[in-house]
Amino acid sequence: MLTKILRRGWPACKYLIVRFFMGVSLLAVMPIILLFGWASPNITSTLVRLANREQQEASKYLGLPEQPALPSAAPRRAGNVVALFRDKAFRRSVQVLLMPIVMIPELFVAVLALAAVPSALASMVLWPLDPGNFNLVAVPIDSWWKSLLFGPLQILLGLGLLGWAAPAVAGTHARAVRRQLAPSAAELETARLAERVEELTRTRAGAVDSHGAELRRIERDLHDGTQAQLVSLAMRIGIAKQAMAEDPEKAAKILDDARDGAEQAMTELRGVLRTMYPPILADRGLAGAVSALCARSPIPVELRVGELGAVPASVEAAAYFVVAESLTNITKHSAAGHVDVRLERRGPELYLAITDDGIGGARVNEHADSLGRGSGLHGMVHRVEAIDGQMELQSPIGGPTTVEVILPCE
Amino acid sequence: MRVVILEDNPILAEGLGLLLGNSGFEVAAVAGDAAEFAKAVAEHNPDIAVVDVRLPPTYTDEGLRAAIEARRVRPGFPVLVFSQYVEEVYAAELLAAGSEGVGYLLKDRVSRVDEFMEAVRRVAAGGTVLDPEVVSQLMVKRSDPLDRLTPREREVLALMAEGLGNLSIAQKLVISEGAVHKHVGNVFLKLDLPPTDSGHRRVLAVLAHLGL
Repeated sequence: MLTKILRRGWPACKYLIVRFFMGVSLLAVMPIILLFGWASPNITSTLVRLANREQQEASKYLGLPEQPALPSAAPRRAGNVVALFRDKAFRRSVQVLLMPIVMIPELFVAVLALAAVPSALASMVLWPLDPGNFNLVAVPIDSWWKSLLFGPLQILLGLGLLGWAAPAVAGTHARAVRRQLAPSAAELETARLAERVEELTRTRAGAVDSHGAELRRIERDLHDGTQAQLVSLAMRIGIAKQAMAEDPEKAAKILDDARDGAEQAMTELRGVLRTMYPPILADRGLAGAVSALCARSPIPVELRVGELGAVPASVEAAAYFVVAESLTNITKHSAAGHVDVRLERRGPELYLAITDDGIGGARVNEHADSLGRGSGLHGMVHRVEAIDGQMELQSPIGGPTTVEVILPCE
Repeated sequence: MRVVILEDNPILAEGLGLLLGNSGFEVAAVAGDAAEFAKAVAEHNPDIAVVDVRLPPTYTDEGLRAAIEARRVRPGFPVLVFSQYVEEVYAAELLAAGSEGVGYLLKDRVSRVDEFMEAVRRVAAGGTVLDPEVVSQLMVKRSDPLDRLTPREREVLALMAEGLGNLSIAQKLVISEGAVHKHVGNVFLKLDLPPTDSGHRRVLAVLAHLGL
């Protein structure tokens, strides 16, 4: 019985007393916090952190799981008091840290609960030293019968305080703290959105980088290839027109050259468009385009396509490029008799695996080796990494060779 | 001969009309989308249609589907599909319901006016015309059995697959018609194909062998 009372009472009193003294010492520095807090955003966020610790302690005492923390104070410029006092997290942390003011009665209960029994025992024995100046249950003790009557009464009262009153007060206090500091659904949503914005800003920066690199490559291809061809074409036609009157035969020859140039420009432009976004992808989607690629392969291909969902255009183009390049490599170098292509959606990612039963020994090289191998794989890695994907190549000597690619779709 | 053009790009439609008009064709109508095209074909009863692949509203393969549909409504109706790029699967889809009077060419080919007009006439006459790029895609796929052919025989095979007759092949390779005849015989022998004349059945046999 006694140990049970102690086991309930002691943590409650300890919780109340420690919280009180923490609160009082914070209260002492509160003027300083407020004085500088309006100037420095760091101090306010420290305040919110302290409030969150208060909430953690309360949860620990109650044996409840911790609540989600208050979102940290909204970023603001130093000295922006309006933003500071509009910040709900800040306002609530201040309220909780001011709690020791209302905690004085609670502290009284805790101290009384702890002190009642020891002081009763002491007074019952020690009252003859100074009769009338020892109190039991607020009654001055000047005789043994009073001591024996009021002593046990105070002990009973003390045990009551310790076993029931203190835990009840501590529990109420802790629950109040938790209630006060529970972030509202709207606040949690705001915090979640803020986090998401931050994450998106970060990933978007990467995407914009690789997108920029891709744009520069296309610009270079069009500038050095197609545009130069068209300029030369215009020049030849101009020269042919000049030559027409004097030397029609020469003019015809120049026009022939011009036509050859135009054909070459068309072929190059088609090549550039194909690397940007293969037209068949737009026409038939990723599954249709890949199946067209596989149908074209001289080596039999078994294609398995799962449900793909919505796939961004850049991912489609990269996946198509990897399959096309792999099938070309396999045809040229692997001496394979069979190829397996798997394409499926795995949650937020697109999974692509190309396996052949050829001779293996494929390596990723920046430049092609003497047999013309390797640079194709390097191009694939480059293309995949440009959109934050991963590519893994397994190709032991003797085969089989597997290219696995994971491309993020979200 | 009367022709209906299905092409949404006004510059290309005008150029194509000019080209065909200069070569003795009468452009009966220019349609901008599949619905207009079906109406124009029914109304003007042309001898041939020249069809672009990418058209509004989705800019994917409407033209291809319009061509296949037109040939379903009027079996054997000559259609030349004329595209910015070629895909073997599109050729296969186009030829699936019969290859007589079917052409599939890159737009690039207009630069050789004579050859292009000759191809249009061949399609109008019920022949088959395939773009060299489609044929080279097919030849890559069948590289194994084709290893038995000499380079010259492979060239002859490719031109046969494009739909050319012996005379045109001879002109293209700058050799005599007799030499072409000999090469053709060798190709059929080496590929175990039944010997056929130089007409449409030969194109079919060659394409069947190439897996289209």
